[in-house]
Amino acid sequence: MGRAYIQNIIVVLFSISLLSACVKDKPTVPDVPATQPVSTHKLYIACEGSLSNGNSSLYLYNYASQTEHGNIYEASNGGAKLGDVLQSITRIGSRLFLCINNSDKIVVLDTASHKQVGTISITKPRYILRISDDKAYVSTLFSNKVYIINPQTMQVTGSIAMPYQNPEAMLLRNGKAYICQWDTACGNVYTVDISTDKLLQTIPINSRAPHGMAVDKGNNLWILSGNVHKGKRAAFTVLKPDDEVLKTMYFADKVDAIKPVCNNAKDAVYFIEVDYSGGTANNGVYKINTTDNTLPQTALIPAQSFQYFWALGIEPNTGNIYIGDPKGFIQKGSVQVYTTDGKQQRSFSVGVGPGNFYFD
Amino acid sequence: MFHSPFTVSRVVVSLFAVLLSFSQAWGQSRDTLKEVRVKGRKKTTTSADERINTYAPGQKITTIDSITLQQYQFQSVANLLTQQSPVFIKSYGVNSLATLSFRGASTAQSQVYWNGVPLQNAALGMSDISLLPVALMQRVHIVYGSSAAMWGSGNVGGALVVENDKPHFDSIAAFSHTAHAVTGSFGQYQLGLRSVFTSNKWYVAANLMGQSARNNFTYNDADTVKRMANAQLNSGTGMLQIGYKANRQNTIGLTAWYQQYYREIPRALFEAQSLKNQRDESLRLLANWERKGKLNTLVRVSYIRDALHYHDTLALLNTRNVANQLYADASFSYQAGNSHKFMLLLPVTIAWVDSATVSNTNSQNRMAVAVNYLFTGIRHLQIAANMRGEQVDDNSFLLPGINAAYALTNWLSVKANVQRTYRVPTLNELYYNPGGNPNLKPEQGWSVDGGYAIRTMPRSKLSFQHELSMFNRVIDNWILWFGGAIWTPHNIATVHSRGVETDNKLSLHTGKWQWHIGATTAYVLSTTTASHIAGDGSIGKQIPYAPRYNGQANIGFAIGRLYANYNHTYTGYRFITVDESQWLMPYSTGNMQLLYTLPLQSNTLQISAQCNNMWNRTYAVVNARPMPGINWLLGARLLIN
Repeated sequence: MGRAYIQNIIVVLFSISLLSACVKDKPTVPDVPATQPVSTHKLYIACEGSLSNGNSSLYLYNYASQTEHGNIYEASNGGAKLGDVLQSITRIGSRLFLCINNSDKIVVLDTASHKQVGTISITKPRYILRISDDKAYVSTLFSNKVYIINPQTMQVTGSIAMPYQNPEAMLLRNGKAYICQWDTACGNVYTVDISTDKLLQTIPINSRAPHGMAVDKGNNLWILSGNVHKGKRAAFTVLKPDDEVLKTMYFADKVDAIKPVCNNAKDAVYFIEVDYSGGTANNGVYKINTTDNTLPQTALIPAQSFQYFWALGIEPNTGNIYIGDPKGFIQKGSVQVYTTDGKQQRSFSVGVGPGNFYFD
Repeated sequence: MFHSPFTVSRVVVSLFAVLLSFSQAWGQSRDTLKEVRVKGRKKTTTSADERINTYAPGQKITTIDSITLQQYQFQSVANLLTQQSPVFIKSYGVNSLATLSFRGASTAQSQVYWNGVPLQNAALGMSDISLLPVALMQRVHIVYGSSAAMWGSGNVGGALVVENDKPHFDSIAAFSHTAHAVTGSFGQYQLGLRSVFTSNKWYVAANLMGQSARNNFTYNDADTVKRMANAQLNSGTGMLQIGYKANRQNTIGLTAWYQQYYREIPRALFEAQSLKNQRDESLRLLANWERKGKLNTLVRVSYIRDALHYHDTLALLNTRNVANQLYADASFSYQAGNSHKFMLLLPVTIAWVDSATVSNTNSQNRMAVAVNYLFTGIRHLQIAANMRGEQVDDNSFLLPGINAAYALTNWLSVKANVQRTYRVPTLNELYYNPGGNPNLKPEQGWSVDGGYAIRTMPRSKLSFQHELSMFNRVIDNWILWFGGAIWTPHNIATVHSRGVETDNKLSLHTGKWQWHIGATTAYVLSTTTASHIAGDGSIGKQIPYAPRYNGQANIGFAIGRLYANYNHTYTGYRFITVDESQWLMPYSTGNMQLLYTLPLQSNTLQISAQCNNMWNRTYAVVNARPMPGINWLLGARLLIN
């Protein structure tokens, strides 16, 4: 037996040993079961995905049977990808309108089958406000435009030029559309005549960069504003039904508050305070009664260290609180369900970056 | 989506195993421009850097041989390494960032050095190696595993070392010139000129290069064929090297390298359109003084300025960031008898940023004292011990390391390397506004690697080379960017990386034919073992963009003036998320290189042709960034003596 022969044997033996020690490469992560017919008690979960990864997804949860259905857009549309950053969901008639912010489009789905029936091309869409079955407004990022669309024809029919950049949250009150502009130069909320689509009023508030709104049982408008990372302190401004300022409550410096929503009785407003630093102070879900004149100092549902919440919703039947935990947008997120007194009921896994809930 | 890639990977791994069984030497081969001739291996000083040549006998270091450099002379270092090394190149597609990932390390843990000077963007802590043209470099080394004791912060997974020829001097003054012209698919054009003057006192080398490309290739988007838009590339590069030999002992060198790339960034598949573009402008100046003697002295001073102007009309972004780095070092090498070598290295780095997002009052200052020692007093054994004390702003670190090589027989040797390793946070991680975290701690841990090399019958017609390396590394305080509207880096995880690499080559001389066949493989597990995130799903999971399986194979021949090579690459699953919930499918590409060298009296003409992705595979290295299908590059290089 020659030396070269022995050398070759050694080489082959080492090669074989390599093969036997390897981990199977094919991923084995089970996903939530795909779509099943759900007709009532539907909660749509907009999972934003992580920016520039094109991995947004739409999840569906039946809050009566407590069953979740994962990634229903892909499952219902032959595996097609939804796009980058699913920002919001709005139902108009028998269709769902999904704003895919960084894909510059609105995806329109049939609510029964979840099959795509069309798309509307709009740059950086954020939120949709239904005006009627054949008219809706679309707010946009990085522009001063609110687009007008016809949900029936899925066409852009016009636009409204706003005074500042980043039109954001919108709602109807007193027959007018109220529009926030998340621009640090903006210290107003604007109203639009929904019949003429013209700017109607400029309503000064006592803070900058309004971005969220909710209406309480007294028809008062709660406006959340601020951009703490650009030096604009967060604040709640409450407008009476006649649009006069009822009260303004300022958050402590550096406290970042987002996504206000009323409870079912509309006598309290929930909101999220976000802290990205890994700490627990000013981090969690907070509750303020509409009659309060000071902001709450402790969280109803506190976040843990290296955790923050990104979505907030109230179940129509029970008033249970739904919270989206994006887990840093670097993995699948989770939705946690709490009772109105802050006790956790359950938690379930969803797509990357749960950012918005839509109870249908 | 869920077809059986494991079967594919097993086939590929099995193919590599077959190659392993018959493997033999090709690398380290020498050739000349005048003739494609592959001569036997010879242990030579492969690098101008003593840290590679002398003080790393136990580390795995691969030098790209000159015939391979010639094959890729009209491409970027990113393409070269993608096809010829098991280092994972994370390419964001045409005209976009391409970064290194060694052995499951992050991009910032994988460093790039140019003539011994760190090339990382001082703000980002990473290098875009798609902007490194192969044509500008004369040597490319891949240093696997940590050697932070010698190279300092950031050398965790490994390092890419690119070098220019050191000035050489000749008693007869002479000029030589090289000109090249290239054309290729998707409107690629490239022109280059290199002139070298040598005399007994002076060495002057001037390089000029320009290229443009439309990059308007077609790609599949949801079963629709589309043509890439907004993908224009224009670049210009100039490098001037001057060497002056003051006397037999003292040499002074000056190198100036300027390049500018204008790149339109095409849409990702999830974008409706892209109006992004980016202008990268780099100025690199390096002065050095070398004194030969009983005590060899080398002093280097460099200034690197990287300006990045990014423009996105749709997102209202128009940013200009300028990162500056002043680097200087002095090294003193001394040989005591036949068995002891010492090197004292004193590096200083000052980095600062001019940017709207990072205050230029924030800078980072590093200084270190590194001592390297080599002992060769026992036959067949080389032991190097390294120790580095480094001060980074107000923090100090002690980094020990030891590595050794032992030749068991004349055909079998073993190696081992143990290092303390760390990476200090970058200026962006510390001070980016918004989101920077000034409280970040360095990533740090221990790295161990070792292996064996078999080299048989180097002078026979049939020769083999097989090298196997295994590594194990645990890094604490692993930094992850974490956030929503604002992203902030945190010391979140502990990551355990381990794996096996093989390098296998075989060559056969039959008459006028010289055949070669070889394969490199990498099997890397890099998993999160601990995390601070509540309910983190990443524990036990592979980190993103660290393929477990990766390999390249080459087969080809040389006859007379013709050289031909077929290259095949395989890259396994890459995860997009830390919990392995989303991933990209494996891909393989086939690539062909041809070189023909034609003597023209005293001059030489070299014709080269490359075909990349010749099986026209649809693939993406990074999610939603399609790579080109089959494409060609045809070039001619004329050497005038």
